[in-house]
Amino acid sequence: MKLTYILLLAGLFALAGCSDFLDDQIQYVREKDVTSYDQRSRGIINDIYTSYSFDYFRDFSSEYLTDNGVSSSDVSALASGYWGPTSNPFEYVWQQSYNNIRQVYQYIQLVHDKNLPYLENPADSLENARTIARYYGEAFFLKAWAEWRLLQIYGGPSATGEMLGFPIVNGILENDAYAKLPRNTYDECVEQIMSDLDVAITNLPLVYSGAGASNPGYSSAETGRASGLAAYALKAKVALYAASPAFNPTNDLNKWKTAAALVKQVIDKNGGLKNLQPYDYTNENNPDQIWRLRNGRQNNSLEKRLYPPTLYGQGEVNPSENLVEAFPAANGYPISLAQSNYNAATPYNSRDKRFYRFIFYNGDACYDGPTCTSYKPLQIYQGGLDNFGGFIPDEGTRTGYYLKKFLNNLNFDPAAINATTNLPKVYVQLGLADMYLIYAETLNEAYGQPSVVPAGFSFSAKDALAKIRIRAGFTVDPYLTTMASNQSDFRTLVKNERRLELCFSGERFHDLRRWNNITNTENVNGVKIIKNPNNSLTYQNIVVEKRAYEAKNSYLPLPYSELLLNSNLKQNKGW
Amino acid sequence: MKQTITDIKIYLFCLLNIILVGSVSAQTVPMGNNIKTDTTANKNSDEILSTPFGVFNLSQSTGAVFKVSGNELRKTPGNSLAEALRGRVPGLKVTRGNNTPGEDGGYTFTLNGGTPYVLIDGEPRGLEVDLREVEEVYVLNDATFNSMLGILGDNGLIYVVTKGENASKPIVEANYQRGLNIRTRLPQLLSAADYATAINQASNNDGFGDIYSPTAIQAYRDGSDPIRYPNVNYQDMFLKQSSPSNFASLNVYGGKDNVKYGAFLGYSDWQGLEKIGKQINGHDLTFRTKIRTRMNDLIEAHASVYGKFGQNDRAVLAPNTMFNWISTTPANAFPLQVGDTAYVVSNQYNNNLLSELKGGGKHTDYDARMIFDFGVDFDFKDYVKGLKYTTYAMLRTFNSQTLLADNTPATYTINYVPDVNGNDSLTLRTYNTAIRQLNVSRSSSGIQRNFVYGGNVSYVKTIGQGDLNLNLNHLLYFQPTKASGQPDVRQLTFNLNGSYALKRKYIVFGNVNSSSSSKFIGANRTRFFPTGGLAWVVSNEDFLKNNSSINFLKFRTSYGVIGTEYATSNFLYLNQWTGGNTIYYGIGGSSPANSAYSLSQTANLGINWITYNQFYAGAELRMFNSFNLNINYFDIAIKGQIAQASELYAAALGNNVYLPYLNFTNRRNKGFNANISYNNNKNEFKYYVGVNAGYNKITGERIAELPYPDQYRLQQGQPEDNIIGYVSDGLFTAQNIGSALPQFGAVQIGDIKYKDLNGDNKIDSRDQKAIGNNTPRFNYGINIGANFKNFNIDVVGNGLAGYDINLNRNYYQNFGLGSYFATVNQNLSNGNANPRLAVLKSNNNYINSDYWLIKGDYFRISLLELGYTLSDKVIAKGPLNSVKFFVRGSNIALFSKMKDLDPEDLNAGVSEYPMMRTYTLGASLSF
Repeated sequence: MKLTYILLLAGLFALAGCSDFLDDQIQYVREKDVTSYDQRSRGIINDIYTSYSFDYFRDFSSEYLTDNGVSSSDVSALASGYWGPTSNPFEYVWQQSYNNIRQVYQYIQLVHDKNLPYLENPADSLENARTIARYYGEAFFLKAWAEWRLLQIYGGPSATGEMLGFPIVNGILENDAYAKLPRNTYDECVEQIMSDLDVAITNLPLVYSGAGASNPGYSSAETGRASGLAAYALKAKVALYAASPAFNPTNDLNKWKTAAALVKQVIDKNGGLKNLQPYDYTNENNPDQIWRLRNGRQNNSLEKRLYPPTLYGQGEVNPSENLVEAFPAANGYPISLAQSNYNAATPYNSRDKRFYRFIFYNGDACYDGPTCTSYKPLQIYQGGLDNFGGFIPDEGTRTGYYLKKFLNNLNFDPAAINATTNLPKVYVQLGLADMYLIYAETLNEAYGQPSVVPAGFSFSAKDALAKIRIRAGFTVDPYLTTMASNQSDFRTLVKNERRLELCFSGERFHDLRRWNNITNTENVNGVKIIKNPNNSLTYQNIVVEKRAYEAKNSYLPLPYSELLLNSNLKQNKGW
Repeated sequence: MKQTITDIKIYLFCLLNIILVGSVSAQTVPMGNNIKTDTTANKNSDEILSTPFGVFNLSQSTGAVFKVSGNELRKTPGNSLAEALRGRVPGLKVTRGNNTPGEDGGYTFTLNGGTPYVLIDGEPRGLEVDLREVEEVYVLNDATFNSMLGILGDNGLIYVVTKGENASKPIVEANYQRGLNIRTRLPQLLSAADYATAINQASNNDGFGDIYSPTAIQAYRDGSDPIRYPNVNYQDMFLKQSSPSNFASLNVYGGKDNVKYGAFLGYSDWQGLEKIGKQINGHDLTFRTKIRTRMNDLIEAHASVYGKFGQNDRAVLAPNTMFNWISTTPANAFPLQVGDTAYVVSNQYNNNLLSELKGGGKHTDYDARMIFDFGVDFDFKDYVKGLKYTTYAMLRTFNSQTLLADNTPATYTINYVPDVNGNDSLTLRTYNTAIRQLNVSRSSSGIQRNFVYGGNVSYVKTIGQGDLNLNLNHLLYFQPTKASGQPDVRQLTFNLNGSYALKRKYIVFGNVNSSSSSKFIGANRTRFFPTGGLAWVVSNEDFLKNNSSINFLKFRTSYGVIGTEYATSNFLYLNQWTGGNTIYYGIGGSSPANSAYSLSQTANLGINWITYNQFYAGAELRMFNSFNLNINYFDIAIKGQIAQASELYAAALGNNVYLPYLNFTNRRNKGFNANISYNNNKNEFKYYVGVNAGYNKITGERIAELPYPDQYRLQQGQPEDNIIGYVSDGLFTAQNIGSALPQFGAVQIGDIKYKDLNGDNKIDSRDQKAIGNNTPRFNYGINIGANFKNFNIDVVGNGLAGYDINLNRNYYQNFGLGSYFATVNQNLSNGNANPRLAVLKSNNNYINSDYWLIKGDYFRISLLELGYTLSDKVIAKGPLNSVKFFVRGSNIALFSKMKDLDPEDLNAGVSEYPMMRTYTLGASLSF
């Protein structure tokens, strides 16, 4: 009988013990954990920002497609005629953008439409109301940004010549429905972006400023989020592309005028034509940065990858001789003109201030200008330490230059005591200099006389460009005056200024496309510097990488795999 | 009262237990007489396998079973059962993935194309067993047995029986082996001069000019200035040719009907190949004691304890890192030392192996593995004849910890500055400041615990002219996970099975398996899976009964469905969010990080079991008492493997996180395995020859892929191990470079030319197809041995065939200004010439193509034993039963198309310890 009890007990024990054995409770984040907690629910929007933050290397890769530079370790196959629907470095934009649009609607449905408060005690706070609206505005700005990226990359004519954009998605669809979407026209896409930005503008503060207590929800602690000014700026940029030759083949001047009006609006909202702030990528509080992202202040990976070898970097990004030659002399004249007083034997003397701030060159010893000693002079000559195979043999330049723009002045010397190895850094997505350049370009194209102030405007295309050139050191600028005398010369000058000012921020490749200039992309040149026995230097231009683009490269192919799945999707012409 | 189906299923096991308990407790009246002998064991030709999940008569089974004895396996030197199984079992592929002394060898088992589960004495405890205590190994191929383990049995079982299971007179066995481990294939490295020459060539090819001057190359060659122009032979300097090891063991086992016991004590030690500095030096101790005692007619209790305790000293620098540094630091990178104390590095190569091994500190691992089990068996023969209940609980616990003193020796770079006379003078510049740890730190890791509770009710009865064998077993498997965000392993398995053998000729077997796993929810949490089998022992038929040539002939077949859970360490039925990213807003250092949240997984509430629908058919034949054939054919439909099938959805949908995981993919695994052996024991010269082989191919029957218009890209219906890549057409020459199609950038003479498969005059991803396969289709083993007088020789060879190895690894693809290997000056081992040497990594040459494929086929003589057994006359007077002296070797020779590295482990010698050839000299005694 004892046995019976033991067995019964064992059985009961087993019953109790395994009743919930198969219910394994793991710790994980549920939807309600996100949506039920005030600030966490807004993390859905915060997350979208992270996909646009510190995209330096994508920008550099885009630059490697142009005549501005090359990577130190890789020959660009794409830029030499190998571009196709299956090999498009911008293909990621498709999925990334639609993913972010989906996430925007996820936020709207799960959080915004349910009127979830931002603060636990919503009744007594202005901040609560403001923040709810602000996130809604941010959502629409981020949607517009995703749409802008889609339009920038995938906009183009169909085989029949109809100018198309991307499939507009305003919501979350069934999974299968995404494989049936047709492309909307280019104009419909522009309209959609503009209307999304209007929603953003309505809900966002123009700029973030002041302390939290005085300006709840809109304080400077929120800088880096989408703002009204950023939405205005994006409108101008979208309008610029819509008016550009590649997407405006009939050269409809109204499109240029629309763009001009929109960029004027940005500058007006920013308080008129102001001087530009000095270049300083450690400055988190720079009013010129209309939309910028910042890092956690503990990151020096960009410097480690870009610094020249003797500064203990990997020298990954090599600007081209072409770009270096595009920098004017210190008096503002291009070096090809005699007035520049340029001397080919001393090519790095008396140049544009931007040259010294953007480029590491042979003999460079100064972080921020032509003459100072921040570090030992770089040796980018044959046999020199910063040349290929030198100080760190597998890290060197192919062109004779290293990129300095965006970099902070850090010291990685292992023998140094108390070296500065970290500084804050910002990553600018929309900047005032870009707006001034858009202003100069659109007014010149729309009204033709760059030095004349058109009716309804308060300053000329030339005035805007002058602000760019003043920062470059040309306070007296006779060359600008010369070039501003007619539309065509001014266009040439604007294009060059745009190249210099925005170099290595990923703009040039798309600029070349929208100007229909992509086929004119020059081969990338470098400089070979030979140190003669008498210590004089001989400079010799070399071709580093060939560039070969066809007319169809003004547009980019839609993803091959997407076309296989979606028969309603039309490919761009030529692909 | 409403109860859902789900709940009922979850409680099924518990209810069954109660029913069982109830039925047993109800029958307190003795029934029948005491029957001393097992019903199944009363026929002398039977082979009984007593397992915790049932008692099976293998000769009356429908299962495909292959057996190897421990004595055979022990001809392999050392203590590793995995190594000993090489080439022994048809269809079982054993490969080694780690050769670091003291580590377990990183063996991978593949049985008929899947990964089998290891059972020790029937308990799921992993390969926690020492070769020296193995009695027998059964390899159970088919669903007949695999279904008993449910989830664990999806790909077959390796069932290890340890000594001490059977009653015998007390036996004491002692064994000692002294081993020598000799390194085998190492990568060929370049001397400083050859390295500099190769770099110069690459640099000139890309138009950068010489990196090293002729003076420097000459100085590297003649060694005239070893500080400025060093030439360090890392392999010679840091590696010994061989290292010793020792193995000693003691086995005691025996027992009578009432008490059976076994005790094992094993000791092993090992050393590393390091010539300088702290050397790998470790030892471990393994023990197992087990006892089984009959308390009365009803109850038999059994318990065992297994333990393995290891200690291993080494430099802080991990052995793999050491090999990596040896292989990848060029001979001219830096002189290791200037003077007696200053360790040197360069700006490019900033690791100094000498300083790390000498001054990097000490690392000691302590590893403890323990397994306890306890069980009670009930024999209800006094109540119901033939009814038994056996049960056990097992706890496995792993614990490892490390004592670490991680010092950083100071390193310097060498600079030359002109002195007053204008001559270069050597100066040292700090590169790393020395850090000396005052405290030894302790870190623990690898804590793991498993809990298993299993049992079986068996009922055996002779009905009519046949034997009925019923089993009802249960198994609970629990492996908690340390990470709170990851699921534990929680599985429940029950089986109700029966076999009926009529006249010992016709055997029918059936099983219903119920498997439950926490990885499923709702109705899918518990599923039922059937298995059935048939066998016909032809040799028991009257027309063959007295046949003198055919001793045994049996045909058998089985079909079973085995359900397994998905491997993902995540519950796929949950919507999960993640808060991984952070974003910073605001101005100044005080601005906090803002958390970002996003969906990370879309739930599939209907996520279901992956099923292995296993069909096996086979035959066993024994003729002339000397010839054996065992052959199995299998066709396994694998259904419902997990995939997101994102290939079928537009990318505009967003990231894959919006797609739930589905039971989407179906595959089919077909093949066979066979063993043929012949032995001749009639004369004084006895010998045997055995050949075994396994072949299998897994094809994708339903896979998610894009609807490519090019037929050759589609992989549906194709082998799943296909290597997809480009088809090469030699290298570009001066003659054909002019007609080069656009392919991956500007090509030059010496670049690889590819075929334009779709004829669009452009090489792009649409020109890829299956160019090879990376899983061996065929594995085989050869076992040969002979005895003459007191001498014996045994040889085992094993090989793999029918697969390709991709040479897309650093050792073969030399470019840039970094590490180069001697392969730069040789043709590839597949006979292709090296493509154009370049500093800038070619976009064209290093993509996946058949240019880099080589047949991986190899044959290895994996074992050799030469033994001498003292004759009975010599030992008759003493207490000894047997004495044997032997020389054993493993990895004696390797024949492969790949000549430079070991095809079994391409990292061996390059970024890991090399494969070792082991010889041991030893003796075994038994009392």
